[in-house]
Amino acid sequence: MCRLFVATLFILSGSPGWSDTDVDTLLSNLQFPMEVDVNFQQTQLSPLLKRVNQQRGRLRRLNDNSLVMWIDHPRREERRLANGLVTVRRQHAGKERFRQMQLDPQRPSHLVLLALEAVTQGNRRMLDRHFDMSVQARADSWQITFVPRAQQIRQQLTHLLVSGQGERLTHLRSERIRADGTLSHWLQVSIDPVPAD
Amino acid sequence: MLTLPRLNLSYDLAAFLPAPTTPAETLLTERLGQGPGAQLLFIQLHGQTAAGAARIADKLRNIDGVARVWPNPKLLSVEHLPAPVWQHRLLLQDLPHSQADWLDLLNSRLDDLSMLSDDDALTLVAADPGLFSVTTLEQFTANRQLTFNQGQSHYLIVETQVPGYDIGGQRDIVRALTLALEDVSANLLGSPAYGVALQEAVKFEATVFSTLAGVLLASILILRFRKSYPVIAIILPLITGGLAGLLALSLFFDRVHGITLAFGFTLLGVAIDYPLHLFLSVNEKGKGFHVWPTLRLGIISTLIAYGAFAFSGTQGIAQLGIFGFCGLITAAVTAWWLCPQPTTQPATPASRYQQLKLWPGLLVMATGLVALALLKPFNDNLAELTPIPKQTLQADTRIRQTLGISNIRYLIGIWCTDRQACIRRTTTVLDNLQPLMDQGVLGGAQGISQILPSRAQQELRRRELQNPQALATFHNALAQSPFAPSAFAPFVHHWQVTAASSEYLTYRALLEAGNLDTINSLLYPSADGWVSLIYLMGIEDMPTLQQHLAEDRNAQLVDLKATSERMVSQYRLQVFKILGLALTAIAGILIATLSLKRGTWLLITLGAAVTTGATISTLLHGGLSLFDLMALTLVAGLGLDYALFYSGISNAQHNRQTATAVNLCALSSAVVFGTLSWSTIPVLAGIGSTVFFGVITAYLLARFTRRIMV
Repeated sequence: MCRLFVATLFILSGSPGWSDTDVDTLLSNLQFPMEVDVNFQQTQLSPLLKRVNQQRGRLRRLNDNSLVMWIDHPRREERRLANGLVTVRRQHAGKERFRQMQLDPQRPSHLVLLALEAVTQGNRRMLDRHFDMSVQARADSWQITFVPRAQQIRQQLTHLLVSGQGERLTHLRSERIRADGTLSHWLQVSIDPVPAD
Repeated sequence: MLTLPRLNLSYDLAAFLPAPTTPAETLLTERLGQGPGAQLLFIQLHGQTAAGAARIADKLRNIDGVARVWPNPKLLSVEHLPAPVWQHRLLLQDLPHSQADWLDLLNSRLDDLSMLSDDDALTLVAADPGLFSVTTLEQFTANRQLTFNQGQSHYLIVETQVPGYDIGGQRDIVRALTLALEDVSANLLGSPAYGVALQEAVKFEATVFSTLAGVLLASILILRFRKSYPVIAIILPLITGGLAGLLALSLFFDRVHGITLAFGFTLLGVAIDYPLHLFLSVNEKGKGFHVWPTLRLGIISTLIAYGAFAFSGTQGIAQLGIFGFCGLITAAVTAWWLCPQPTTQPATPASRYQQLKLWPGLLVMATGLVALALLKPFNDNLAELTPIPKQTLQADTRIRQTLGISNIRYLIGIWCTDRQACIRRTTTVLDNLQPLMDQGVLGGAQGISQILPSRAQQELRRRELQNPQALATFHNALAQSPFAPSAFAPFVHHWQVTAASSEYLTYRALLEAGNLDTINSLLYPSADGWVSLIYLMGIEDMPTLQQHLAEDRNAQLVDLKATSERMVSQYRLQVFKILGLALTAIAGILIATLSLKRGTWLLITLGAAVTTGATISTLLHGGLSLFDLMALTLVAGLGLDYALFYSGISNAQHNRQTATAVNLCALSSAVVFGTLSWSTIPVLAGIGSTVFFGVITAYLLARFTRRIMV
């Protein structure tokens, strides 16, 4: 059934545009199953870094609808996203450090986390509130481009790309492009489509 | 009247505490209602997302009088950090010593940037990779959990700019917050909210009950006299007495306590008896028995008691005494001027008409004393004076525990002759507390040295910055990290500037920063030098903490509740001594003026009325506060009037005339204070019931413990 749906998407992708209903269906199919671990890898480059920074770990959507990211490499950390709130626990200097932040959609990096939470929950309403969306599909793969509606945000977050294969989300990538067209910052969360053991 | 607008009202309960004799007592009187917790409001939001809560927080930040609202994500941007803290960030904490420590720190920033890579965050991290400025401030702000139930339940913490005891200022802020929150489901909690709600409740109830009592009293007077002149002439002495009391207070004091006014008018209630006696002592022909000698004795006795309060040792009670003393004299003079003056002298002495029985009064008094001895009659809890309902206090304690706000009962006091010594000792005490925090005995502690290191410590840190090896260690760690070599150029530049500078972070600079109001609640000048306070959070094991601090000579754990109770208890003894002296003087006057037996009977009747009022009030309300002692003084004043008049009756006509007057006096007092006893405010209800039962007992004993012989 899902394959049929993706195939339909593919056929439709040749048409001038997707309807809102199609995006809605796609997003709702992206909902992460509850209590299933998947591996993920986060890569990032910013002006402060001389090389790409990589983190690896597991990701799980809990029964209470929160999203937990357990980072195992290079240092252990737990990030929990729930109802627009991020809670971070990490070990530093032999002690557990705890930090909790309300995510402010007026801050670009917060908006990326809010989008990750919304995408894994299939929360179309939240995404609609903050982004203009467009979908491209080819064969079994697809990509949704999220452009922040607020001009102020677009200065630091040019767009957000959410891509996948079939019914699975595989990448979420935020990019900031300079006026000359070169890439200034990017952050990508790559999700292994196969559930972890 | 012209001086009345000059009256400045105060609500500082410290005015009702005696002069402090120990450092802990000084601390209590100086800082009552001024701790950082006294300016915090907690808002519990229902049905809000984190984004919704953030929007509400932004809205609240624009309200006049609001200093800060947490959580505040903007804390992580340079423009929102206090300038002196940012400028001296490298002197606030020890820098990592080894390359490994630096690398560990840089890796933490790397992890932060993997989530937060906005321009302002990058600017902050580039200039302060240790986040020394932010982590220093976070020790005093909300680096704590404010969201519960997986993001379903959000709290906001609002810090007001006005001190906790400024109820007027707090009221404006609470009203503005309530208005801003009217469209959302939210609970407003915290000391300022309770204070304002309580003040409004007291104001409402005082208005309702005084109006009701006034209407009832006026109805009784109108029914009895059926003419306007007596009614006006009976009420006018109360008004002139009140005005004279206010005038006296405005002449002697800069500020008058709100409680003084409320209770001053209560004490003045005895003055209504004077015109009542004068009007009811004359018949239709204007003839009647001379009542002034008896009234004069009653007035003098009451004036002695009220005058004694003026020497009580606390400003609040002294104000009460002066108000009552001046008010009573004026009310008596007004009554003398406005009311008829019956002049008939009784033909026979009272002792030939009636015999006074001592045993009923003695029995009632003994029963009352035994009951009081068995009960715990005195409530020395200062919080009861406010008086915030117990349920509210319990809810407040729960919220403070949930949100990790500093404990309002316990704190650590450090007394020094100079400021730097205070900061140094605070550092030592905080260092000594660290093992307790590691063990979970204590959740946290806030002290001045965390935001203002001592000059010596700042100097040591500057020397470390001047050490070329220290900067080389940082560069070596940087080279091993994924950060670009130029990533922390602003930090390195600031390092070099700070190392070359001779400026230090100062107390004055922090005070003048304007957005660090907590500084003067952590360190402040006192009469003998400086006081540094350490606020404690999450006390899990009090005995261990007490034992630990007992061994620390630098500091003293202060239990504000125990200190206040001890002060109130000592003060009560002082009040008893003063009242004892006053009572001795009154007894001397009564016995010297009257016969020994009549004087004894009067004193027993008073004693019985006072002990009955005290016993019933203790049973109903769990204990007597300082204000109940004032109420008992009123009972004694009223009871003395009834007893004086009844014991002076010398014939049947005199008996009828006196009974009419005393009945009406007792009825009006019972109606007024019986009405007050229905108040939902514990202190008002306590005063109402104390006076009501005391007056009833005094009336019954005065009327029925005589045997008419003729």
